[in-house]
Amino acid sequence: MANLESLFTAWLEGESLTEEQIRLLESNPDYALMMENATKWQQHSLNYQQLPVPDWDRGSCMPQAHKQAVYFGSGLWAMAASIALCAWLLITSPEQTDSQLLEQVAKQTRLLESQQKQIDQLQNMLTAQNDIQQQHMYQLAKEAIKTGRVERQEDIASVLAYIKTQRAQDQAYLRMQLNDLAEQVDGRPMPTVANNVEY
Amino acid sequence: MFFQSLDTLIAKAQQGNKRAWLKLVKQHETQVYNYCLRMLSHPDDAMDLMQEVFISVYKSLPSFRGDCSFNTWLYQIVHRRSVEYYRRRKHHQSLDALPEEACERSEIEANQQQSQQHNELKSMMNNLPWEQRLVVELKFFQHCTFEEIAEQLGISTNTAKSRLYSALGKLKVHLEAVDG
Repeated sequence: MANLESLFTAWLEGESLTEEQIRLLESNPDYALMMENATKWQQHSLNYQQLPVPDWDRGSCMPQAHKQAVYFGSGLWAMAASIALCAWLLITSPEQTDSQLLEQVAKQTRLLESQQKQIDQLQNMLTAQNDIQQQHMYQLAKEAIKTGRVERQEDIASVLAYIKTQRAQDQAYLRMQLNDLAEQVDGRPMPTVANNVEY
Repeated sequence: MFFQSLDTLIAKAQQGNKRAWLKLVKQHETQVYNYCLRMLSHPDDAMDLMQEVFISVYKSLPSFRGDCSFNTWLYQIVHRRSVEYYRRRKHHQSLDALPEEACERSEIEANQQQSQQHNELKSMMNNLPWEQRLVVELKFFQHCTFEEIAEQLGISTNTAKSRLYSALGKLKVHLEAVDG
């Protein structure tokens, strides 16, 4: 049987079998039937005529993933254009002397320094803000814990008060029942009372 | 340049070239559509699945390194998407319970003989559970070996074989039922 299975697998994989091997497979009713059915599928596969795809919007399967690249590209173009403009200005202004250029460089440096200062200040402000926020968070957490604790204490106190009240009511009720019993016992004739006197 | 090789098209599409991408889609849409049609039996479902497949291919295209052929890679995506699609649809309605006339009315099946063959194939496919349908599709229509089927579906070779044998056994029952 295992041999038949390996033969059948080989046949399905398209390996060429000898006539004797094919006869062997066909002599087994199960494998003969599977071969027949496999042949049917193969026939369907061979005769299958591809159906044309209905009209559809092919662009719809192109999500906006590459839009960023487009923007990035335009950013690059903008940068290249500004460099080109600067170069053009430098080339077409030969009257600009070295001292003017130095002055401009100094200006730019000062500007950069002031920007750096501003960035540092902003950084400090952010750090301070973070510290304040952390403190606030700590206070809030503490407050929440405290409130929770007080609420729990109040709840426990009210439960205790309720239990006490309940116990007092139960005791009063029991007392009343005992009094009733005592009155019933007092009102009865002697023989019906349990006689436990020792003789 | 009117004719570009597949590799060129892929490389251009990976760079975000829309024309190259559309050409790539046009080259492969018929195969994918027919695969979807065989698996789902319904033209509208096949179109939906095909669109999902191409969206997925477009998103994954930058990660295609050419370790395997584009077709193999494409069909791996097709199988994954089809399984997901089937699972999703199964919650809403049984695909096998779809009306038969939906395809008969279609313009694309005007040819009587072709229509008959397609209907017979559809009926045979619908008779199979989804897993067996996948194996039959890969074996007889994609001409994959058992090892390739196992690799594509993430199952063992023996499971692939047993699914196919079950499918071939089911066909017997189905044909007996059809023949009366």
